[in-house]
Formats: sequence, C-alpha cells, structure tokens
Amino acid sequence: MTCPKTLRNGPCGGVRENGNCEVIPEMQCVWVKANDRAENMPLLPKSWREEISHLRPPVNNALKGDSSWLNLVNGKDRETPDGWIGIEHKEAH
Amino acid sequence: MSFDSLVKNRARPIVTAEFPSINGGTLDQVAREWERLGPLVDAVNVTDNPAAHAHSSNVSVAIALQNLGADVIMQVVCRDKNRLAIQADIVGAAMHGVRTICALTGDDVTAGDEPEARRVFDLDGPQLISVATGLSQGTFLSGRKVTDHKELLVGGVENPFAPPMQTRIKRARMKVDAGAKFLQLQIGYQPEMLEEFMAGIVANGVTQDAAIIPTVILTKNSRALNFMNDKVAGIVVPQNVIDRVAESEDQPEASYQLVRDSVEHALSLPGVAGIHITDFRHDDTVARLVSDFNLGPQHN
Repeated sequence: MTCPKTLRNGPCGGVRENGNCEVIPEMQCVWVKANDRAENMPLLPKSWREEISHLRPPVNNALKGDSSWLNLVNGKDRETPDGWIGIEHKEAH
Repeated sequence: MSFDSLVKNRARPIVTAEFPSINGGTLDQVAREWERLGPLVDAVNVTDNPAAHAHSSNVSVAIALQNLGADVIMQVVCRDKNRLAIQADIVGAAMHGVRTICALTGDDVTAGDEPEARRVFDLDGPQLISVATGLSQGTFLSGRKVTDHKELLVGGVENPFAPPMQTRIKRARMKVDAGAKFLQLQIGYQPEMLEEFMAGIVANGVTQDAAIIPTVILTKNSRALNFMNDKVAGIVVPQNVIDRVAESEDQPEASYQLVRDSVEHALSLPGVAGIHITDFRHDDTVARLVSDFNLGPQHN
C-alpha cells in the first residue's frame, strides 16, 4: 500500500490534473493506477472489475506484522468490527 | 425550512456556506460571524482544521453555533484523529444537538503549516460515512450501543474536478450507498467536468438518493485564483478564467460575475440541489449572491 494517506477506498480529492499524488507530486496516484488495472481485467468473472468499487472496511491494525497470507487463508483479514455496516449487497464474496 | 428537510424534500435550491475558521478568542467572535452569515443561508459548515491548519475545533465551534440557533453541518476529517476520537466527537456533538455531519478524508498534513505532524487516516472518507451512519442507528463501530441515540444526517464530499472521472462517479455512488444523504462538491473551474460528473450521477441514481451541492468560492482578484491554481491540491483554474478577472479594470466585480456565471450554470444542471459558498471576500457579496438567485431563508 503506497498511498501516503493509506486510503482504502479509492483516490482522495487531491489527485492532480495529470493523475499524480497530492502528497508526492512525482508519483502517480496509486488509486489511479489501480483503477486503470481494474479496467483492464478480463471481462469475466465480472466481479474482478467491479470489486474496486466495493466499500472496504477499516483496517484491522491488530493484524500489523502478521502474515497476510496466513490471514487470507484463515479468514482473519475479512473479519470486521461488530458495528461495521458497510454496504451489504456489494460486499458478497 | 431546516437543512435536513430541504435535503429530503428539495422544495427549493439549498444554500450553505462555510463558516470562517476561528482561532481562539471568545464566543463573541463566533456570534459576530454568525450574525453576518447566518440569516443569508440555510446552514453553515463548520470546518475541521481546513487545509491542515489548526483552528478552534469543529466540535467547539459547532456547539457554539448550535447554541446560537444555527443549522450546523459539522465537518469531520480523517487526517487528525483515529476512529475512537472521531466517534467520540460525533456522539459528543450530537449530545449538544449537532446532528448533521459532513465526512471528509481531509487534505494531507503536507498541505498545512505543520507538515511535520503525524497523519492519521485511521478511517477514510467513505468508511467515516459508514461509521457515522452506524452511530446514527445507535451503534459504535465496536458494536456497543449508543445511549439514547439521536438520528444523524450524514453527508460527504466529492471532487468532480480531480481525475479519474468515472471513478469519481462510482465513488459518489459508494458514499451514498454507505449512508450519505448529501454530497457537497469541491470547488472547480471547469464547468464541462461538473456537467460530465452530474450526468454520471444522475444516470447511476445518486441524485435521487442524495442532495448534490456544488461549491463556489468568492474571491476578489486574480491573485486568489492564481493561488488556488498553484497551491491547492485538486484545484485547476484554467488560464482563460484567470485572464477574465486579471484583464478586468474592476477585478472584484469581474470575480463576482465569474461566480455568478458558475452558480447559474450549476443550478441549471439536472440533479443539482443547491449551492455551497466559501467566502474569501468578507464583504457583502454573499448577500448579493443569495439575493441575485433568490436563495436562502430571506428570499423564501
């Protein structure tokens, strides 16, 4: 995650006219880059292109330093706080 | 009519204004600014350390204005506080009657006068909209209940003038799906981009579900336009717009006519629910603008 603002839900309002980052002007905004890549995903499965528009929950900082692969396998990285509402119909896995 | 009602019924165009930053002092100062601005607009936005400069806090000014009878939109940014502090601010302000929240990601610390500060961004703008919506429904992010919770009106911001356009349109949808009932748009000087953005969010249903409120900034001269173009992230002021003001013999009047044209254009677009005014002139121009367009409580 190279977004200097550690944003998880797309580009902030500070993206420059040339698509570069508000904080590091010589770097392309990582969300602009991610968006371009999502648009170039295969047409099927459709979800591959659409997932970039899904609302991601707040980061679980308690997992910092853990193995992300292990957390992917055991599902820990998909656990959300009990009060997180999110957008249900768009978060189906 | 309250801002909340106008957002829901859109009986007439809404006009909101940014409340000036307060830098300490006493409540008298808040009262003076309110007396000037309050009667002209439907609601005022209380900012949260705008452009990453420290000021009297959003919560303190919002409560002061609430006590003066203002319809307050309390802006909350993600830059300076983690999720605990942000939830505490929202629930605490609601205790005093501040029930309208505008959630923003916030400018980076490097935009401000203390670029050495640690940036937080524990939540981002869309997440904050969802968390505030949870508080409105009576639940902290942890799942714990808010005591005797009050319904909040939650909104956000989007910038139609920063690329990529299709992502901005989808992001507006995401924010509304997360619970935003209004979106105040960032300032921009490229009307064709506002048109494209509005057409996109009319097509994806955002304008049905949320009141969309573009922003205009009242300035006095071309220097202010040059400053925004050079220094403010996400704002581009085309050279022909700067020239229009710079080449005029009466720059304050040319600046006003520029804003007048922007308001006329914005209000003509399908899906636009009103106008948000940021006033850097500090003269009688807000009154002139709302009068010219019959906006606000004095003209309705």
